[in-house]
Amino acid sequence: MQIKNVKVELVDKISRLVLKRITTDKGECFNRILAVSNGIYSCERKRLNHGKSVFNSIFQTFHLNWDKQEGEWDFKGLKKARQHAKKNKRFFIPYKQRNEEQWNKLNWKEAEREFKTFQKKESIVPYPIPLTASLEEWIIKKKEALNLLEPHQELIAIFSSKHLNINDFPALIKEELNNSLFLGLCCYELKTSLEKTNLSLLNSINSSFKIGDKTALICYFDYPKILTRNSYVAGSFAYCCFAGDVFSEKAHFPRSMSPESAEKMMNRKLTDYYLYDIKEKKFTKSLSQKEWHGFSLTDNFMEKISVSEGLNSYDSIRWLNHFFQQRDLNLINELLISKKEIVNTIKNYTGWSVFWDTAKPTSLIVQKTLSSK
Amino acid sequence: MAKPIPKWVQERLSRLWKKYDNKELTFEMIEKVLCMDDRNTISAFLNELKVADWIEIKLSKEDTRKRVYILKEPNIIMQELFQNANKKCKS
Repeated sequence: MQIKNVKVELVDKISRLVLKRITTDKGECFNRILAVSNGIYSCERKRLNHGKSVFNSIFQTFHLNWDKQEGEWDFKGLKKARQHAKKNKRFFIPYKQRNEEQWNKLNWKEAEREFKTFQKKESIVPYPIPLTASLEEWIIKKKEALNLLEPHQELIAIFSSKHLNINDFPALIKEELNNSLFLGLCCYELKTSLEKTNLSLLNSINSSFKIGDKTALICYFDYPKILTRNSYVAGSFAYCCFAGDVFSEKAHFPRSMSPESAEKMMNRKLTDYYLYDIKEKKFTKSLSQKEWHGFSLTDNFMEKISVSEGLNSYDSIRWLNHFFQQRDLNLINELLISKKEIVNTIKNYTGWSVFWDTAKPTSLIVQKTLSSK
Repeated sequence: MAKPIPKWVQERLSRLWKKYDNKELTFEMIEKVLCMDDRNTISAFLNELKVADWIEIKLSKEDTRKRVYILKEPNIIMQELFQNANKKCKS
């Protein structure tokens, strides 16, 4: 499967949310897509064993773990994940999940090595960009990289949302949005001003495109499923407000967890799970659902999911969360298409409204000033 | 003059009104009725009410560092909303 182009379909004047049309050799679709990442992929495999269906996402990612004990990246499962993606006609993006320390240490030599590792087998080849990279440096490196790619291969430059070279960050983003099909971003929890500034700039540049312009898909990697500091809003919505088009949730690798955390995770009860509440547009636990709705949504859903679906209780909730979040991202697209006042709808839901009022990108005036520079 | 408020604020406000009418409320009382342990959301809720002029905020007599909140009577709010709507129609 190949992407022919990505074009701006609509830019909402008030919210600055952008609708993009993705044209592939198999058809068309819109942006705001949850990728099938590690956790959901594992659920899909279990469901397939029971003859059940998979999600219809056109993107699948595979986050690779740094094995602390072996001191190397763990590529186990990559081949099978790639096959699964191919079978389900998906774009497959492998991704080395770096922590902040690893991002800080990343240099061009390592970045190049990583690109060359993936260049041999992948259709979409990731190229992580060091935190201090300038536009000049990247243009040279990109030219070299593109020379090594086959016509069917695409490059995805992956930046950190904490990119330190703030002066060049807007130019780097513009370069990718103008001349590539993909732009990757590793994100954190929107805690620091550096991250918020970088992402506000990105949002500003993204929304400055005109209808019909060719652009790139902004893929957020490592996004936290729940933003606990922002009223438990879904990370997918939060990063959708910061121009996200494709979302790949942060993977948790049991092998790299401390024994205490692993035990805690194993002993979790149904009441400890967060469920995405479609009415509130935020994550809630069973107890608070009982207090607010008068009954537990989690229990209610669990009663409806039969064992024949092949998922245990944790996976069932994970599956539902993914399904409901994608439904809400589709809702945003539908509102944009129908040209309804999307901010009014956002303001009607607790989770969305609180996030929109407290953490949305820098004001439009500031954004416009920044993007005109 | 009262202005319309979002749906999620309306839902929470009706619970508060049902329990306390126009009595003086503390932040903790609101927190308890709304079953929320997330102070961010309560602050956003109170801010929406303040901006839309649906609530009166005073300093507590017992402790002036604290605030008390008094909900406006629904019939007064309705009148104000109608007046606002009429004004808009005329203009």
